Amino acid sequence: MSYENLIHGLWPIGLVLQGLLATVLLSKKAWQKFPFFTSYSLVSFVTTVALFGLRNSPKVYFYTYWPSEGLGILLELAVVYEVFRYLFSPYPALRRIALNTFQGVILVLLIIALGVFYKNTATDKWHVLATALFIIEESTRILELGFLVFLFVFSRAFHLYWKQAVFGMALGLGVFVSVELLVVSIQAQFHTSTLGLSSLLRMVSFNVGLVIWVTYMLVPDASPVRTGDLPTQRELELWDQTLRRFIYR
Amino acid sequence: MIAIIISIVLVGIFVVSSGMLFGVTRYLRGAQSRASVVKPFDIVAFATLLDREDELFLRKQLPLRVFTRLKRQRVRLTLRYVVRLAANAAAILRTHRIDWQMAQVDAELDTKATAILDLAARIRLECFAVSLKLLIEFIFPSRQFQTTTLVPQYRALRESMAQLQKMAVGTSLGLVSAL
Repeated sequence: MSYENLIHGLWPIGLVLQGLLATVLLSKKAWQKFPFFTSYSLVSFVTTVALFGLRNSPKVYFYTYWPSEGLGILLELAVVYEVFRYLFSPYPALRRIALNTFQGVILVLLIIALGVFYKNTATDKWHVLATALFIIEESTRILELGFLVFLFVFSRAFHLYWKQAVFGMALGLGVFVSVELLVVSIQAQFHTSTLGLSSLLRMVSFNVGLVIWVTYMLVPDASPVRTGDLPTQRELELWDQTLRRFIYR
Repeated sequence: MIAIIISIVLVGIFVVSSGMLFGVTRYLRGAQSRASVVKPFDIVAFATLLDREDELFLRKQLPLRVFTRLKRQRVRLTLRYVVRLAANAAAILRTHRIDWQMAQVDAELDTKATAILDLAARIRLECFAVSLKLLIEFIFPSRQFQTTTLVPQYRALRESMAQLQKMAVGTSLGLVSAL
C-alpha cells in the first residue's frame, strides 16, 4: 500500500473527526470560554474540506495549502495564549511572574528559531521556495512547542490546576506540533525525498490530536471534594498567637 | 542537523513534561496524593533558624572552622523547613482551587480564594529563591542573605485562609491547624 493510498484513506477520517469536534464545540457553546480554540477548529475544518476538494488540482492546492497553514499556525499560537490565560486566571501575582518569565522564554525561542532559519540555505530556485516555507514553519513550530513546554514545566513547578478541557487543548496541540516539528525539520534538511511519509505522519498526528480534543471536551471536570480533618478552635488560636508573637517581637 | 537535534530535544522535553503532568506513573500519583496533605509546620523554629543576629553572635564567638560546620548544619536544617513550607504551599494550591471553583457564584469568596491561591503561589516561588540562596550560603558559609519575607507572607496566608474558611460553607479547618 503506497503512502498516497494511506493518505486518501485517512483524509475522510480526519474530516469526520474535525466535523465531530466542531459539533461538540458548537453544541457546548465553547466559543464563549475558548474563542480562539473554537475559531481554530472551525477554520481548520473548512480548510480541510476545501483542500480535500482541491486534491486533484496541484497548483490551486499548493496556493491554498500554504496560506491556510500560515493561518493555522497563527491560530495555534492564539490557542496557546488562551491556555496561558485560563491557567493563570486564579493567580494574578503568579501571572505577572509567568509573563515576565514568558518574555524571557520568547526571546530565547526567537533566537533559536532565527538561528535555525539562517542556518538552512538552498541554491536551487525551486528548492528555495519549498525549503524556505519548511524552514519558516520549522521556526514557528519551535516557538509553539517551546511555549507549551514552558506552560507544562511552570505549572508542574507550582502545582497549578488544569481544567480538563484546557489540558486537553494543550496536550492535543502539543502532540500534533511535536510531530509537525520533527517532520518539517527532516523535510527542511532532506528537501522533498520524504514527502509521502511526512504527509502521512502529519495527518496521523493531527487525527490523534483531534481524538484528544474531542475526548477532553466531552469529559467533565471532577466534582470538587473537600478532604481534611477538623482541628479544635484551641489549636487554631495557639497557632495564631505564635505567629503574632513573632511578628510583634 | 542542529535544527533536527533542537527539535528532538524540544519534543523530548514536551513528552516528559506532559507525562509528568498527566501523572502516568504510580509513583507520581502516589506522590501527588501524599503532597495534597498539609503537614505541620513549626513557624517559630523556622523563624529562629532565620535569625541573623543569632548567627552573627556565633560568628564572633566561635573559631571559623567550628562556625562553618555549625552554619552548614543550620542551612541543611533550614532547607528542610523550606522544602516543607513549599510542599504545604503546593497542598494549599491544590486544595484551595476547590474553594476557587466553588466560589464562582460568590464574588467575596472568589476574591478571598484568589488571594489565598495567589499568596500560596508567591510563597512557593519565594521558597525556590530561598533554597537557591541557602545553597549558596552552604557553599560560602561566610555569606548571609535576607530570607525573612517568607514568614510574614506565610502569616498573611494563614490569616486569609482562616477568613476564607469562616466565609465558606462546610468549613474544614484542617489546613489552618496544620499551619
